[in-house]
Amino acid sequence: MDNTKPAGEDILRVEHVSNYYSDNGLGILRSRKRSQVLQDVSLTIGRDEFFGLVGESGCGKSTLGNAILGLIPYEGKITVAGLEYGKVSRKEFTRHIQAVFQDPLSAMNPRRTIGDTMKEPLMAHGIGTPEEQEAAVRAMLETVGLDASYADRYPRELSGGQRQRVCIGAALMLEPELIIADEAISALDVSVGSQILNLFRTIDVERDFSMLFISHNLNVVYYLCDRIAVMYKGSIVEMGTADAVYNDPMHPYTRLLLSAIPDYASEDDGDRALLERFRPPVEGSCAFYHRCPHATDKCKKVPELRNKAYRGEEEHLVRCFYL
Amino acid sequence: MKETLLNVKHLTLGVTERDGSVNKAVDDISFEVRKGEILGIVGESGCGKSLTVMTLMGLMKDDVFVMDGQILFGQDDLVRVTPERRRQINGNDLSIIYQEPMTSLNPLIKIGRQVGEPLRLHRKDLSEKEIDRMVLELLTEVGIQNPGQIMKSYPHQLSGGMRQRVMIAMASICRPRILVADEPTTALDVTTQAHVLSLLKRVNEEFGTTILFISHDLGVINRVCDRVLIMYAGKIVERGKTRDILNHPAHQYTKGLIRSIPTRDQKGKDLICIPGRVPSTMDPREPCPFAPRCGHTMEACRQTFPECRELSKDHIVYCHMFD
Amino acid sequence: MKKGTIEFRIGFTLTGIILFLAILSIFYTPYDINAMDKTARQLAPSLQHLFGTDNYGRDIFSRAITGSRFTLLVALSTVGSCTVIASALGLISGYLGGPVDEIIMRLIDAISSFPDILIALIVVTILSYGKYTIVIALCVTFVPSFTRIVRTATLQFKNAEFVRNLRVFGVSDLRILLVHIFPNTFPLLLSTIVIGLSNAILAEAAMSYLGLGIQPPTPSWGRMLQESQAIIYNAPWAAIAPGIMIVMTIMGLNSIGEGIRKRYLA
Repeated sequence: MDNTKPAGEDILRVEHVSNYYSDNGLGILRSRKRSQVLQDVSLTIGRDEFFGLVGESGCGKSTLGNAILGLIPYEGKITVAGLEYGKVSRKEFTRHIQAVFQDPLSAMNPRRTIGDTMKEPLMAHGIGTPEEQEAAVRAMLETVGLDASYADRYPRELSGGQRQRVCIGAALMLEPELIIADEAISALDVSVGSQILNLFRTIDVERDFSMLFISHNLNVVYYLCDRIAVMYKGSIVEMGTADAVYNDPMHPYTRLLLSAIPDYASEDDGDRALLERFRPPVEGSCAFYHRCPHATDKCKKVPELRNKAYRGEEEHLVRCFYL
Repeated sequence: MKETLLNVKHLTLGVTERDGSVNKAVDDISFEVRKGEILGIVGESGCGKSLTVMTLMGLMKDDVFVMDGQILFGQDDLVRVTPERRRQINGNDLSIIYQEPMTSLNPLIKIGRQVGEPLRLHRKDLSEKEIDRMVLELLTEVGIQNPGQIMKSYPHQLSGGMRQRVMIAMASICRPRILVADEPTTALDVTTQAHVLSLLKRVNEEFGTTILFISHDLGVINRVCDRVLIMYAGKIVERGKTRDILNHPAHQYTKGLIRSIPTRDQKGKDLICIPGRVPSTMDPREPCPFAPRCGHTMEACRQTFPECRELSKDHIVYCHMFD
Repeated sequence: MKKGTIEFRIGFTLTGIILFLAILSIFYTPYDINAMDKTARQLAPSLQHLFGTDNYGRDIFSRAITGSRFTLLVALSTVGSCTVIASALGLISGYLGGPVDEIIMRLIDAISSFPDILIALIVVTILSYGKYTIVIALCVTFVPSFTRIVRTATLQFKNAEFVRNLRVFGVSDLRILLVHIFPNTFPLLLSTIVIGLSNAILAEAAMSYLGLGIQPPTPSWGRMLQESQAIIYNAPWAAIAPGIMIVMTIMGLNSIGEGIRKRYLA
């Protein structure tokens, strides 16, 4: 593989990406509305970096993941490993970016063996002879902590955690620079999820790859990732190093999220007053206006992302007028 | 000592596998539910927590049956209760809310009518007008802003959080003695979850409803439960006050579960995982089902399941390490 | 006992018997199927004539088992060719969607809006009588329903998560369609084929009864039913014999189809 890129070059560059979907409604009676899911999203991920994307349902994080993978149409520009989507063939594009999704069972063809599924990426790109492909599959199974004999088994014979390991292995077969993990441990038991987290960390030491880790769980994202972006209603509201976003959250939504996470170690039983206050929404305002405890008239416009970090520190972007 | 409302004695549940063989899904468990408390049941997939509460409600699937034991509730043994008596109890003295409110609500019937249904069944003395009034009141109490409008709406018009509130209303309207909540917030956003958990606590405090709360999330358990029991592979392994268990976990499995959750200070370090995976009902078992993964297994663990050991008032563990 | 076992047992037993008799008829029949015997007309079933004789003194049993061979051949050819055509159409239509899907489906709708008998009549008129004519006619009438089934299954799998993953791998659409989606439609297709066979047998019987199918003196169940019509009060066994064989075959095939549904689709 070509490793001559200078260190620090961005593996992923998302520039002003928006995505709409048409709400067709019920036949001719409803008008064709266009709803905006992603609103002018931009972010970059560097080499060997784990980037966490956090948000609740409807925030667009999965939509962004699908857009980056080229699975859905969008407006804007997305570049992976220097290749701009749309300017190169889809096949070429897929060599550099792979994915692991939430449900490992439905992620594999139930009628094909594990080994067959893991060979598909190699076959699709014409890599290796059949013997070499077999060997690569066996080696990868060991890398993800499974016995090489699993190659002959079917997905239904494996447990949830084992299946997810296979999916991770399949994603690594092409040695992509970027892997998108969309709620990769959300459907797994807690004890199994922790094994997968350790697996990601182990593989990261051995190989050079970046990851976009999409999750609703801010604790896990903080644990695993170097940088974090928080999304709300289709746009990024806060973005910075994991430490900055988790320990010094600035956007009211981030603060709300953090306060809402139930902590098993917390002693206080108190009903922490949730950091939100409801008010009637206003068209064209900040997306968080209708829930924000600090909203003022200034907030009736959409704020820009501004860097609130101290000089010399890493960028900490926040989209808020209050600060 | 609070009065015991529900007494599960030596309950054993069998499950018929695909190939016709019968295995124990829940093996000789005993516990009490005390009046006015919120008792949590924690475990990962396959531990039998859902099967236990389904048996309590008499809602088991066809392939699950009671092999032994009793569930004493007032004058009745819920295992042996007649279908007629069961109809009198469910929805009235005993009710349940599920993880997925969308599939629990009838999509074709308006909310107002559905929430009032338990009243119509169990309180024949009430008129339609009185029922509607009670529904309106209850919907307000569960935190719905515009109850009149919601009563005329259909389930698909509501958000996940609202539907769950509706479920709680429907389950509470007959002021049941026990409300079973089976992973009620697992499918909800973190911020919505916080509201629903607060609501459940209020239902417990204001109506005096005893709650049996099933979850896999220790953080959530800590937030709402007074006492908790930990289940593994069909057995109860530890039981006690929530703070006692989370601060001083005795069983190796409990310890392992706690360690699987990444906390702030663990960033950058590997999580200590429980090796291996949860056995399925078809896998052969040691007398102590956790033995293969424990790390501190002794001879005794392969011979008998441990006796109940009392560590302190109201904290018991089933582990040979405490013999 | 695994799901569907009872259905499979019943189904394979019934169809097995018929199949055995059909194959047997290639090598041996108690009597020549065309041998007429004026002295032995309309005889009731006996040891010499297991199903009795018809109006011309021909042994009904021999004719019935020979007839089964032709009927089954027609049914198998029909369903076989129909499956090939319908699979291609259904896969293409379902996967590509858009205008291709629209065109194919409207064509299918057009064909299915014609009564089957009418289609058979048209085909027979164009191609004149013959063994293959009936196969072609029946095939045309069966293609719409088969195509719709394959198309629905394709649509279902087109949006499956593992298909999305294959696209992420970079696998070509053609490979996805042929290697991954198509095999997953097999259980459904198999069930459809089995039911289709039983429908084809009924359809062939109907066509032959109406005189559109297999021509005399070749026996087929439909023909035999038609021939027995005139003598039904004197010699009911002439109708009952082919009738029983049809019922056995249909029940057998439907049982197998139900077994497949229970074991692989439920």
